[in-house]
Amino acid sequence: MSSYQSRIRNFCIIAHIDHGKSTLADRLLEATGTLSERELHAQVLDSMDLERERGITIKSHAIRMNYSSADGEEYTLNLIDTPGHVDFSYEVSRALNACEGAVLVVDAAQGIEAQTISNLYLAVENDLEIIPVLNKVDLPGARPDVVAQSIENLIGEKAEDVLRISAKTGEGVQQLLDQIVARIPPPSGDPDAPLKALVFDSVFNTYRGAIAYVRIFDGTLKKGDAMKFMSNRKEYDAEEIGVLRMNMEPTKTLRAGEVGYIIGSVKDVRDTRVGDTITLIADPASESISGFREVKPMVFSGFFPTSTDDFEDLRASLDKLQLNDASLTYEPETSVALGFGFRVGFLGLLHMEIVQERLDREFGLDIITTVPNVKYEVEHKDGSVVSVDNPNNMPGVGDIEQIREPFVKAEIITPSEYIGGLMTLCQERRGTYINTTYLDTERANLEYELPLSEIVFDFYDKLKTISRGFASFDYEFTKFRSSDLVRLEVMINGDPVDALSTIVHRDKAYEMGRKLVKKLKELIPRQMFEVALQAAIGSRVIARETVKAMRKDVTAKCYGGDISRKRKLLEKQKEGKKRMKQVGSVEVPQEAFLAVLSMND
Amino acid sequence: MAGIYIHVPFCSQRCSYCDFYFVTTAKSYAPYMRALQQEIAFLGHTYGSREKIDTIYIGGGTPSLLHGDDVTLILASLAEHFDTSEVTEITFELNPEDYSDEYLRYLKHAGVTRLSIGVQSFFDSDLQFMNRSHRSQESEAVIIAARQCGFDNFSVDLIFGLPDQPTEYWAANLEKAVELGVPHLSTYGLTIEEKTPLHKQIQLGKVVPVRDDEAAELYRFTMTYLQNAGYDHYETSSFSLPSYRSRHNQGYWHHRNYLGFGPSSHSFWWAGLPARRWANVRNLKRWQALLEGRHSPVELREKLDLETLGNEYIMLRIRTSEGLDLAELEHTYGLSLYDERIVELAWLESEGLIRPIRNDLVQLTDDGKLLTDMVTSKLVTG
Ligand SMILES: Nc1nc2c(ncn2[C@@H]2O[C@H](COP(=O)(O)OP(=O)(O)OP(=O)(O)O)[C@@H](O)[C@H]2O)c(=O)[nH]1
Ligand code: SF4
Ligand SMILES: [Mg+2]
Repeated sequence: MSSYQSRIRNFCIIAHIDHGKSTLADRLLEATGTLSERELHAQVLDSMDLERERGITIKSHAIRMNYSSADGEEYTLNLIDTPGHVDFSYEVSRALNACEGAVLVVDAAQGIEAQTISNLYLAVENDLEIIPVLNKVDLPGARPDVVAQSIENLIGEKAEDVLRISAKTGEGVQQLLDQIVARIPPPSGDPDAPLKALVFDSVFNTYRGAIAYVRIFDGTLKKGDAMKFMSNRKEYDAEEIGVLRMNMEPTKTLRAGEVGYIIGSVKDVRDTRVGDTITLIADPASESISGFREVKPMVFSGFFPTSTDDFEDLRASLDKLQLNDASLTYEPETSVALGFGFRVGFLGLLHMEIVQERLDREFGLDIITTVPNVKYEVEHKDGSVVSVDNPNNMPGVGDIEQIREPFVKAEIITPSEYIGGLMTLCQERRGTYINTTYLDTERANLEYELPLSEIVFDFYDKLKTISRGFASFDYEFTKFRSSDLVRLEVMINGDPVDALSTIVHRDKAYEMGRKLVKKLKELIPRQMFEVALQAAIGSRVIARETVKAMRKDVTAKCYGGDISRKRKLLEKQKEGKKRMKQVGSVEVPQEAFLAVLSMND
Repeated sequence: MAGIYIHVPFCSQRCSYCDFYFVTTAKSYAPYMRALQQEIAFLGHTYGSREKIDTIYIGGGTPSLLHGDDVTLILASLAEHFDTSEVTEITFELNPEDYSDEYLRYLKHAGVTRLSIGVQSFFDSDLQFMNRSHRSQESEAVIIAARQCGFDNFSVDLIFGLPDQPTEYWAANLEKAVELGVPHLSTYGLTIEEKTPLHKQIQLGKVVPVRDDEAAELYRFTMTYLQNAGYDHYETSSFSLPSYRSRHNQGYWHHRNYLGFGPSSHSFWWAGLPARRWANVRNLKRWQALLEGRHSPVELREKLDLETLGNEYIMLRIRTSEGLDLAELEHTYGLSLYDERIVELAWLESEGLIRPIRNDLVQLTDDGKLLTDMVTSKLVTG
């Protein structure tokens, strides 16, 4: 190990959502003097508007700090703050690849939660040194002793050794810094070997283009070096390299063990692929670093621009978003009802919501989304298998031997009193019970196998309601299994509406069909004529409702000259009209395309 | 020529459907009268010499709660600060329970030329349902008395589409009005406004509003019945015998300037672009306090560009029997519906909602009148 490496520590902060990772990062930045008081505000690393508004971390953020430890040595600490929400766990796994250690934050009031465990396992898989800390000990509801004990049960760290800190008051943060230096191993790697730099993240900047965040495993990169991406052999010059402070800080070299950024002369931004290895053309490495497990989208939804002219803009915007978000997939889709758009794949519903919101805010695009669904595997009678991520691409019933759907193993962590209610919920969602274990005297870990389609919609909300907010859950794809699934179609005045068809379990089709047309009836305004709404499986109609024709629509009076009021009503109506889509001769509001999601309201 | 509207914000009790601004607790009208005169002086200072006044409308609330002297005072104050020498119509809203021969004669003497009588129904059960403070006998009596006191020109308000009202009642109400020779009728379909007691009752499930197909039938019946009885359906809710139209209300539909006085009143002034609309605070005490402190009591101000005015014109004119004049729309407002809405116009005609366009006039058919708002939304631009 070279001497400079012994003074580097690369670590990330991992935890369940809201346990205080970003706030702890604030304290570390403060304690190391990385940011002045003026620069520091709460969760300073959450730099995206959306992150600030929602108070959650969506993307990992890397930052470099200098720290003089008690032994008088000057250390370089590279910190990566990670998101806690289950949809973004791939961000965590990528960050872990760039580090030797992880600080596992556990809220001392809430205790161990589902993502505490899943992120812990990720860190263990990556062979990282794990420093558990109890956070929020300042809270009156904190139960540090109980929670410390459950940490001991989980990872073996002696309960009395677990650091107790408050990211709010700063208590214990100094000790944590000392532990980071003492316990996390410095990076190894040969600065003189051929260059191996792992791209663990990338961002797109309108002015600078694609920026790759790298961890150098071997070798040394100098500004101006001719380099290449090992996956696609594309060659570029390292126009600017540097380290990540609050802003990017250019340097002349990046050496083995260091974390930094590279701005190359990359023309096509798509060439910068997260997980790729960069090496030098002059002295290439023989093999690349084993990249990341490819993230596979779990749910799919049609994204259609409200205005058909925006199709190309939507494509360009998705391209750009994908640069910062490798997990996003999309391909063109055409809908009779909604026109040209894309079938977009997401990691979960929060992810979908965030993409939609970013399209709206950052690119000014108004999007209609269709009901999200999972991906199915369909085996034809002739034995061939296709995968279907759009209900409308389902082969005809006669050709299908079987349909398989994705199943997940779910872990639900809950106070034991809610076990009964949660088991009923899992049963209703076609779950198969596996096991229950106890984390401590009060908290249990409930394991179930569930169809993914049953948990993507409102499972999480239900779980929170049943457990009064105390349960948390995490899931992991296991396998595709055959189920009795059917395609439920909706017809408006006899016209099938492709954007409304869904795939459901046969046992649930009737109830779903009934609720769906009922909800649509509420959402579709009266028209000049009667509108028939039908739900059908194949050619069999299983539910029907009618929207009666509009018979009277006239404001009685413009009171005492209050013309403004009537005009404003009209303007509002007009605005609403713009958001309608024409299905045959029926005007359908956008919300209707998501009716399935709001059926239980 | 401009119009003047005076809002008298007092009522003896709250009718269940009403969302006008009024108070039921005033002990004295003196502070209101002082502030009103103040406001008349203020606006008179700015607008008094700009245009002559053509019509005056004293509405509410319940103006007939005011003492006769106060009515004289209001009119005198207007005469002092505005040019009222060519006023052709002074309308006064009167609730049946407030009338006496003496009061009516007083109004006549003060210069009131037209009464608008809040009858609403000739059935006691309806009146009770609406929480009106009069009885049906008074409704009939006031009409007879008004005529005896020399008011030939008057209007009667009637409301249809009350929950649970038998259809025969509505027919009987119209029959009664016609039989009494009422020269002007304002018939309103009951609208359920938010924050009214009626709205509350409906939310609580105590009252079930009429279905819109029932309301449509009632409105259609009204049109046929009154047209057969010789009335001219000259605006969505207004029917008159020849030469008894309300001049004041027609001003609203013709973008004539008007000034409102009193809390919650609205004004419109168009003398070069942008035109302006403004509205006073909806609070008697604040309105009074602001005027006493010599501040403006206006709380909402809007500037209207030509396109907005054009859209208003569409929205207002389509409600009248003369119809929407596409030539005027083009030359005064610069909006050509022949260019912008030709598809919609063709569709409306094919659906039988408007008559075939002649002389550039878009006129609603009876079917179209039932769907006035929908037709409007097809035609406005933007
Ligand atoms: N009282 C108290 N509150 C804290 C402490 N640490 C964090 N919080 C609060 O907990 C909430 C969540 O903190 P964050 O730092 O955003 O949590 P996070 O783990 O980064 O959340 P995600 O990134 O969304 O997973 C915020 O309201 C913080 O102010 C602490 O030590 N004490
Ligand atoms: S009298 Fe007129 S203003 Fe007063 S509450 Fe009744 S309807 Fe409303
Ligand atoms: Mg965070």
